[in-house]
Amino acid sequence: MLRLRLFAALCLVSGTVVFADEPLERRIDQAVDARLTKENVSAAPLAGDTAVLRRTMLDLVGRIPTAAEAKAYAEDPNPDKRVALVDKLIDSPAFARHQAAEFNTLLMYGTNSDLKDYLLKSFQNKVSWKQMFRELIVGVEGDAEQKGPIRFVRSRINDVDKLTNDAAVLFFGVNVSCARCHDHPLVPDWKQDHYFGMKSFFSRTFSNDNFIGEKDYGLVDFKTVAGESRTAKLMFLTGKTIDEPENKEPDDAAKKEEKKKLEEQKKNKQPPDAPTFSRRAQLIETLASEDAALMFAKAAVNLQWRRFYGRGIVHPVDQMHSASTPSHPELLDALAKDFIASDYDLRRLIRGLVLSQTYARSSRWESSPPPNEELFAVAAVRPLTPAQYGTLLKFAAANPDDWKPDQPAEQFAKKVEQMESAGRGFGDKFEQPGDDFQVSVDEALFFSNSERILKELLPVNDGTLVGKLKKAENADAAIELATWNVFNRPPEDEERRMLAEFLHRREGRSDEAYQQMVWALVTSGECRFNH
Amino acid sequence: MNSPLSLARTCREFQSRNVARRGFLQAGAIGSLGLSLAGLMRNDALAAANKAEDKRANNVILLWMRGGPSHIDMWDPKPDAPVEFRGEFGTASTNVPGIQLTDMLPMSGKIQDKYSIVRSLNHHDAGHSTGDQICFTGYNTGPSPDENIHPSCGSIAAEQLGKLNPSVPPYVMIPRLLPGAGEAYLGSAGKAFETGADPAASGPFKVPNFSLTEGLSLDRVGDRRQLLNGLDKLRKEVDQRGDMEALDRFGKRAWEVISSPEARKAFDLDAEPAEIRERYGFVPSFDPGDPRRCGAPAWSQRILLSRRLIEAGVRLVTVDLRWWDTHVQGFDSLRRGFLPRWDQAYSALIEDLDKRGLLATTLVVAWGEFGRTPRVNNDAGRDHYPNVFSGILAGGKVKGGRVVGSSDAHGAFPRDNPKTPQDVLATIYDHLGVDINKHYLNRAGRPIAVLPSGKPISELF
Repeated sequence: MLRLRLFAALCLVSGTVVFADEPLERRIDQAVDARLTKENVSAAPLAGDTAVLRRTMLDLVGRIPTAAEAKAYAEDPNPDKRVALVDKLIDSPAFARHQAAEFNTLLMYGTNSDLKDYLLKSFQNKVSWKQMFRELIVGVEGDAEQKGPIRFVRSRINDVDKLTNDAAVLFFGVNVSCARCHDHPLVPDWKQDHYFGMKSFFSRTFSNDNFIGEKDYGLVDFKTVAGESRTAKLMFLTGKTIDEPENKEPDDAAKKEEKKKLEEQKKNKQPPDAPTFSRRAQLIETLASEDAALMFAKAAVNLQWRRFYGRGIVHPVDQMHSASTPSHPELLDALAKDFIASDYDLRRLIRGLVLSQTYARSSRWESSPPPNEELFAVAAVRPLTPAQYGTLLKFAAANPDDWKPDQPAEQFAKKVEQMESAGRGFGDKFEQPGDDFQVSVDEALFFSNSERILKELLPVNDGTLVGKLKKAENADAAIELATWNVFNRPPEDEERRMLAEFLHRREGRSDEAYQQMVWALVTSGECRFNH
Repeated sequence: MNSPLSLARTCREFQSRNVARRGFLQAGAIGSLGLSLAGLMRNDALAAANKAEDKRANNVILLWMRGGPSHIDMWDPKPDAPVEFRGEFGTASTNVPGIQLTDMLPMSGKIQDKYSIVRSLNHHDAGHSTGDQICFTGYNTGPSPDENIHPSCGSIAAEQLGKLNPSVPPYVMIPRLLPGAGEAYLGSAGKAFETGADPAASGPFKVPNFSLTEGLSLDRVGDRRQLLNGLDKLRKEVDQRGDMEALDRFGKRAWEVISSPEARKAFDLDAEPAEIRERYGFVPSFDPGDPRRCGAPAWSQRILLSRRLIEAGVRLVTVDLRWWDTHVQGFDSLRRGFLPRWDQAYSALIEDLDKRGLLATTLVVAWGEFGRTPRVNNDAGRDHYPNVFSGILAGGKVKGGRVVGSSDAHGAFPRDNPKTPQDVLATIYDHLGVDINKHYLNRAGRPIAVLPSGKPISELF
């Protein structure tokens, strides 16, 4: 009922005509521009080539461009070079690696498990989001050791409430945790029945040593605020209840038998028997209904949107309910429908998201005050993930000569992969950024004064930028080189002046001056963010 | 992907947004749930209250006797109980008439007038990490007891008081994080600074990234810092939300830390005069040579380091003094391993603080996650026991020479005036000037009070 009301409301506001055959990026721009016009806000200009290149590469392949790549892109006269760039990046092996890392963080955060291998294969094989969802919840055939995607469930099994809420948040964009203890005070959609209904999909799942299994029986009982005891129905978030075989509690003898068998399986390191009726599998089946599918698709679109645009169309991203107001409801709807029509193709969605003009705007807002964030009038400044940052540091401090474009593509790709893994090692030092970007004292100290920075990034030798700078013709050439290598763009006048003065005052001790200069460049705010 | 944390924040969202959008109706709705909106907002009342009674110089040393020190064998002897309860140690008088300790703590007995004993502590959880969570956070454990789902007292102190002295980290762990000591939903602001290096280890003591890296001088780091500031200033206008400023703020802070002589001096344990180091002791690590028995690292110097840190302005230092888990041959372990080094280092700390006039501003709390079973087990040891145990406090408003609460004849249950870990935490917060009525939003977006219960133990004051 309540769901229906939500959709009725959406239909009313979707007045703009959207042509289904328009590319996604055009549809995004149309919707965002329409709202900007309505609010009488003019957007920031498009960012320069080098800025768009850096942003896109960090988002799609998790690294910054080399100086040569940045220059080549800036000089490329092809008017369609952005499309060519995005398609090339999405086709590269680094794309699957980076997406796997990002989704691993998204899905496994707060657990000690990781799903990187599974996710990497999934992205390499262009597995749809719907299939990933299925595999994460039910597992895959032939994974007797339960080391594949089922870890999503297995690593959360000691806390079924967390499992319930994580699944609701990650796959359906709704946070029902408040409704665990009482009906949600502000969102009429979420009653305790919804929370415990959702929990029922997971409540028969149990752990047996290193394995999880699912029982054929068992119900969830809960108490309402009024003290009334209730038994939860197997009910999806839309309020739809699922028919299932009658719950038959086995008698004591059968339970004893069951326990014995489980003990044996534990001893033999075997997974428990599969149930004849799996409630977890029923969660996947809910997607057969149109409104559940739309909910699933919208949540995925919104999460990816947030990734590239800094905030969700529904923001925060776990508030996709009738009481929240999406910034661009008709766009969210259109993108979700396209996602469904494409059979939940993440590549297509991501490609569209990073090809829009909205994505390519400058992150600089010249006049004050800054516009309302939900207008997407200016590009967001987003903190890098630890892996992105670690990789950035490695690339920024490397000798640009190692990255000449005329080497065999395979050799280049191999080196990129090595740098990424070295970067990840470096990135372990940093924290995953949360909502309020903070830096720990530890991280700050590390950047101000660490031997590792000095030894790994700044030694004077043939492998490093510092080594290369030492051989530069003059200070100005060194500044030019360093700025391209670290910031992936030419120096601005003020920077050129500042850096020249810095080097000038240290004439005669150039090794150390270059070290300090590169150190300042790589630890500056510009490197910590995607902007 | 950015900010996985925001994946769970229902209540947070309706506080910040719906309140603004729908005004009083929602504020009323929250009120009806028994949460005061004012309590959820950052309030400055605390700052005002603190000014009235200046606690800005106050700090805490938490001597964490991990594993569970035996109350009966230390601070709550039962000389009249049968031997299977009394244990192997005798009883000795202290410099405060009427207070007795076991005869294993002669040096502590001589300074009994400087510290007090709470003999009626109790909680309900006999697991190590689960007990750690209760004693550090005041809340029960989450599903994995080694991970905090609520912030430790140090994290809360760092969050509320961290800005007062930028030149040192507000919350320090010697040497490393422990179960219970984490920051949970407070994020980086509540994160402990781990010394990493361990004063218990042999060789010179050097905290990573704290003292200047070889080949660097302060001038040069300062030079670079200036250049960095210049570069960052150029980029400021890019940053709508102030995220880069946050980076800058912490960068400055790191700079202040490495450039401040106080901070560097604080961590320079080797600068301490030899006679003081000797007074705390260089008792080597204790290895009972039996895998069923727990040993003790050479932690005496960790306690000395804690004094240097609070001297430099750290607000709360937790010192890991493990492993009092004396199940097997416990009396032997206590006699040879734990009690002599404890007695020496603890009395050294209290005397040292007193001599320097620091005892007025420094609250020293020594306890573990529980006590040990009153009845000696078949292995000449004692097992986990949370039903009653002791802790000792000194400094700040705490008057020495008192005993608060008592346990029954066998040291099995509180006899009178029972006290809880939450009461100890409330005493810590009271000393530091931490606002315990403040709420923080947990990862599910639910507002959680600093403490669920507990009152400062005023009998100590």
